[in-house]
Amino acid sequence: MSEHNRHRRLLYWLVGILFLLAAAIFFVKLRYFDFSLDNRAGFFYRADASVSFDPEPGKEIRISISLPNRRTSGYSVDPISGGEKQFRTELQNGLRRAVLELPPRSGRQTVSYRFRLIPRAPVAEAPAAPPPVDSKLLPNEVAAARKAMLAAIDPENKLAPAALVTALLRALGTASAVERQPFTRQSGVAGTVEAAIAILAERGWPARPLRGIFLNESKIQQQPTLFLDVWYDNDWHVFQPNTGKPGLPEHFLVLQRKDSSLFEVSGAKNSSIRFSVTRVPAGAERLNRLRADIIGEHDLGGFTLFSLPASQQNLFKRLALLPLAILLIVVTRNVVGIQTMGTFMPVLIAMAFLEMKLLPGLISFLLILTIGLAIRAWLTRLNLLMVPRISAVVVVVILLMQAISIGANLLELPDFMGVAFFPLIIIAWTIERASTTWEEDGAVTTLKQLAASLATATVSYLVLASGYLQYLLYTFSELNLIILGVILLLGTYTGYRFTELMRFQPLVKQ
Amino acid sequence: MKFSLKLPPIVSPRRLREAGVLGMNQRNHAYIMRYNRRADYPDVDDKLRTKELAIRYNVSTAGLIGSIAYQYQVKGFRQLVENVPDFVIKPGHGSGGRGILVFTRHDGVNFYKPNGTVCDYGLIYEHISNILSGLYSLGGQVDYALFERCIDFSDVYSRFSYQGVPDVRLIVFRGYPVMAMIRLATKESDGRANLHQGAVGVGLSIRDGHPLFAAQHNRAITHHPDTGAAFSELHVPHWEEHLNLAARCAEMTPLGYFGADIATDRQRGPLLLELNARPGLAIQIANGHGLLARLRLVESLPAGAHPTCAEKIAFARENFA
Repeated sequence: MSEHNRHRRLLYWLVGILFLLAAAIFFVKLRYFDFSLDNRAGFFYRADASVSFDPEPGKEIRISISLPNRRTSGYSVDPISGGEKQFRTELQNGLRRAVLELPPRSGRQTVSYRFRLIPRAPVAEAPAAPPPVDSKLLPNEVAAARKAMLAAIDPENKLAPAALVTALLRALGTASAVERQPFTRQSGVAGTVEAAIAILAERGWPARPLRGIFLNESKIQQQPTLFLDVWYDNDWHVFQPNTGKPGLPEHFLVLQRKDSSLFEVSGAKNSSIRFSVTRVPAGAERLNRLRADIIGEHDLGGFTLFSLPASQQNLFKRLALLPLAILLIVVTRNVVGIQTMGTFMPVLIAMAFLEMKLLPGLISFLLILTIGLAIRAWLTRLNLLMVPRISAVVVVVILLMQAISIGANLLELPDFMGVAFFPLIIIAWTIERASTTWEEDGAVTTLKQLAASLATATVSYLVLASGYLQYLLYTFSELNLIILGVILLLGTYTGYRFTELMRFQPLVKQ
Repeated sequence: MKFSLKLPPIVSPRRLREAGVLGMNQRNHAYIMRYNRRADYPDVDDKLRTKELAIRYNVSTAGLIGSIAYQYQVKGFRQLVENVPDFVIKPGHGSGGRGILVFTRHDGVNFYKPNGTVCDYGLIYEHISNILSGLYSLGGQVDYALFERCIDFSDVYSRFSYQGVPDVRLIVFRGYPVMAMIRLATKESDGRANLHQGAVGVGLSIRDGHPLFAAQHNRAITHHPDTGAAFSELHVPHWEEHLNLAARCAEMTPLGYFGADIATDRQRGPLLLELNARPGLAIQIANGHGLLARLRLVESLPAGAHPTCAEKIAFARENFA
């Protein structure tokens, strides 16, 4: 008894470890690889940042471009390699930048940084409080102008922060160059933002410019768009400088925040940057592969099935659902209590159904079985030994499959041509078993068992045919460890089978 | 077998547990796997080995005629049986009564089954070949064919059986006979004593072998469907000897949980037909009683509680009426 308990405890430990392992790998893939639970086709962006500049003679050139925040932006950056000019990724003050160094050259130059943006779930991060407003922003000579501007917008000092910023941006937008002169010498949006930062400093609110690009822009070339980022109520708030509208528009990718520049070119002048963005539709598996590749740079991608050659991947995709179907067989036999002809025969038949759809599969299976049984019954009269007899049935089954395939081709029924995917030996054995069961236990028992087998095969097919389950179990193959654990647990299930609830019903005293 | 689309009534697992019904999973896990070591299975799966053990332990069995293990010997099966009036061909590793052929008389050319149908040389040749190639053996491995004398079953059962040899199945657990039934062939079971083929199971009291309950296809019946005899009038002779035989089988093999099949010969009395390391659960239905309480009672006994067969039988008779 104690030994029995020890076995059981060992099993529970083992299953517990399997479950934990599966959960851990699943979590890592979901959280850090950004693998998607959704198998619907998605998309990614292919983007191009072109920096143009006039090199200063004899000077080394260094270009650096701000990259989106990996965690909060909702996109991972995947540099597209190729070309002679290779950018590298550098971390500066906690911000990632693409950097390229070039030897001195002459004439106007344009270099492109090409990258993919792979969508991922953004992570909400509590923003760090900015340092208090720099006194340089509060020159005394324009203090009166700042106060006047604020008083004009909010005379009673009771506007909500968002309304105040909106009103300020609108006022600055319509203000004349003379009115703006105390705060900025720049015109247009850049001036509006600079002036707003200076005036908001009077209120003690830190503010900064924010630059980025629109991803849904169909224009070939796009210049970065400027927004105003204001800190109040313990958070940053974005405003559109032209209209004063709060909030970031959709499909906008923030490239520059904090005080770093959007891009820098040293050793050159007259530099400018332009972006072009293309949306590329992609299946969930392609996206996962791209995500794995990004992680692959961090030496982890090799651990997924995606790192295998495509032909191997297809093979495993086919096998991905087999553990689940086998679990189904275990449940059918040990929990439901249905007897099938051959333990795993229904699963193997179901795998063949996958290649030729359910109805053509069932029809061809029944056709092969009926003709096979008839021929087997006739072979009985020849008094053959068992191995030659089954071998003869195998040959007959091959010929039947060929005949069905040829017939299907002539009748233009392409689904039936997949008949060759039936597991030959399994079918031959099924015919043999059905034939001996028929002789010994009669037709009813045989038909019952065959019907049970086909019903189980059909249910297995419905499971195996599920595209989503296949995606899930292929992408997250560690879920098979959970299936393994459940199978191990079912190995110690000692409760009644469902069919026994009917079978032993007479034993319950009324 | 009648085929009905109506689902039979279902009972809750809790009520089955209260009734002490042993289920298939529990039988396999808690009894067969725990009390029967794999290495001891050949004691019962290999019928020739069972026979040798039985002879060594003085357990009476049906007379052995011989065996055929190689294909070239099959041709000569007639020489094997030419001096005996009747014989049974069994697969050496068969189970569930599969592959057993009974001939009550023959003249060397025509072989007569108990129901009067005639088999010729070719048919028997094929049957033996099938046995050798493993068609009836447990794992499909190559097998041999065993030839035994027919059991001349006593007239006492003739009213209760449609052809075939009725046999008594006893479940023996740790040497104690815990439950018994007699299996009676019907027309539907084609003269065979297999319950799943439609034979009738009649539960017997361990104390004196008197009938308790009868069931066919999991349903209670009171009279034999073919002969019309009332099962309540069934009497199993030599009951004491049945119990002795079963208990002695437990000394033959280290298996802790098995079924012993015993048939009664007119001259020789009860004979061991075969042992089964995975005895079926239908015996519970035939008895109208679950096995669990009895198994638990035996499990609760300390190892040497009843050292001899006689003491074990006495305990069983007292507790398993």
